[in-house]
Amino acid sequence: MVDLFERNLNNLLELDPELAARVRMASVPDQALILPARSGRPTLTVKGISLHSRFDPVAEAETLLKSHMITEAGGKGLVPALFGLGLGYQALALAGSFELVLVIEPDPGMVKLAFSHLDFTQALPRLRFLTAPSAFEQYPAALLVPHPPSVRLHRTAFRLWTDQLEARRPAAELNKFLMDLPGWEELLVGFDSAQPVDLLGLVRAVHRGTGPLSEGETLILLLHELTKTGR
Amino acid sequence: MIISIDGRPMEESLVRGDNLEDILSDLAENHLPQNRMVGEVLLNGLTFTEELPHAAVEVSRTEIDSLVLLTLTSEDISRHFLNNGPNILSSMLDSLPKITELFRLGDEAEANEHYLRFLESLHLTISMLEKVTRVMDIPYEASVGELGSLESRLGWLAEITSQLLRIQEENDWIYLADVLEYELTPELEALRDMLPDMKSRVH
Repeated sequence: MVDLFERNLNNLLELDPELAARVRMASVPDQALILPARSGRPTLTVKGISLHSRFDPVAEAETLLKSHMITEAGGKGLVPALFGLGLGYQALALAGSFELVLVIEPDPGMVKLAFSHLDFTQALPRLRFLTAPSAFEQYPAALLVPHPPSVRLHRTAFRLWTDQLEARRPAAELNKFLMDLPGWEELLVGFDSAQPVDLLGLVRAVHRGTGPLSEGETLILLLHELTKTGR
Repeated sequence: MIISIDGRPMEESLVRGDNLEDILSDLAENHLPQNRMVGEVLLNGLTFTEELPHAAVEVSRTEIDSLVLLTLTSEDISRHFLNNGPNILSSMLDSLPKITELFRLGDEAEANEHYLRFLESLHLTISMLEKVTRVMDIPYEASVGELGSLESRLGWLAEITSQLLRIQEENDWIYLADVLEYELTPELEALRDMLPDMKSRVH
């Protein structure tokens, strides 16, 4: 019988072979201790600090879904980007409510630990594990959802990811604004439709006065200014 | 500054303290009639209540024109507590879910602000309960149905508060939220449910 870790990893292998290989090779984090929670489910401490409830980690993860942060993400159509996997309770809860959940876990050893204790096989098609901040470019606008004890373990990495998301936010908002406009595609005539348009880069270039503006560029700049003043 | 206790004026120079809290402490420790406690404080003609713990520190001695203390017997205060204790404990219980949620979601600064206020109320309530049982001569060890005795409940509560302090020192906020939610909450509920029985034992 294939154990839980192998079943999880086999599913990940189909979706992200590179990450699956890294997870297989990884060592579980130092001083990670698996304990039974009062509810009977496994819970985790690292360096003596609890990463999940010691009483009912599933119920704790469910409270995250009711938080203002998550209801806001749902209302705005943002994709939750969970920073910190822990054993995976929060990621699994989010996967039950969102079509797509980004998971940022700086330590592949933590993924290995999580895969050894919780069943991710149903949720994996909705989860995308990000390993570098540049990976955000491939996905719709995201809202960073910190798993607080994981943030304490990886403060520097968390700041890096936060900065990356913040830098991306104006471009994501502008893109969404344009896409909601009727006939927005006509504005982008002349751009390579196969490539994502770097609207923020375009506007920055225009502000520096580099090159004459096409009609499309003028309209985009105007819309950008309108969205800024309308905010 | 005019100071009076139950209508009897006091010599200002006998009262120590640079702010209202210190002045009230000095009055309570050194100048109150025996077996009486402060029931109401009128500061410059208006009833003074602390919206936040230690708000009285913010009132300096120079701001006080008149300070009138009305006292009650310890029995009166105890009866008042037995009547209102369940509501006090209920409002403390109402504040716990927000505190645990803030700790779980990582808003430690705000969580700690509410938590410290809660702890202060908890300590005051426990100390009040101990005084009330003494003043009203309520048997400490008598069992109240399935709720056990007040003695055992207060003992267990003391253990939980020590545990909370230790976890707080380790900055293990998730565990702190756990103990607040799964251990302290049922304990306070039991204590709240014991108060009507305690009241019924007072004649």
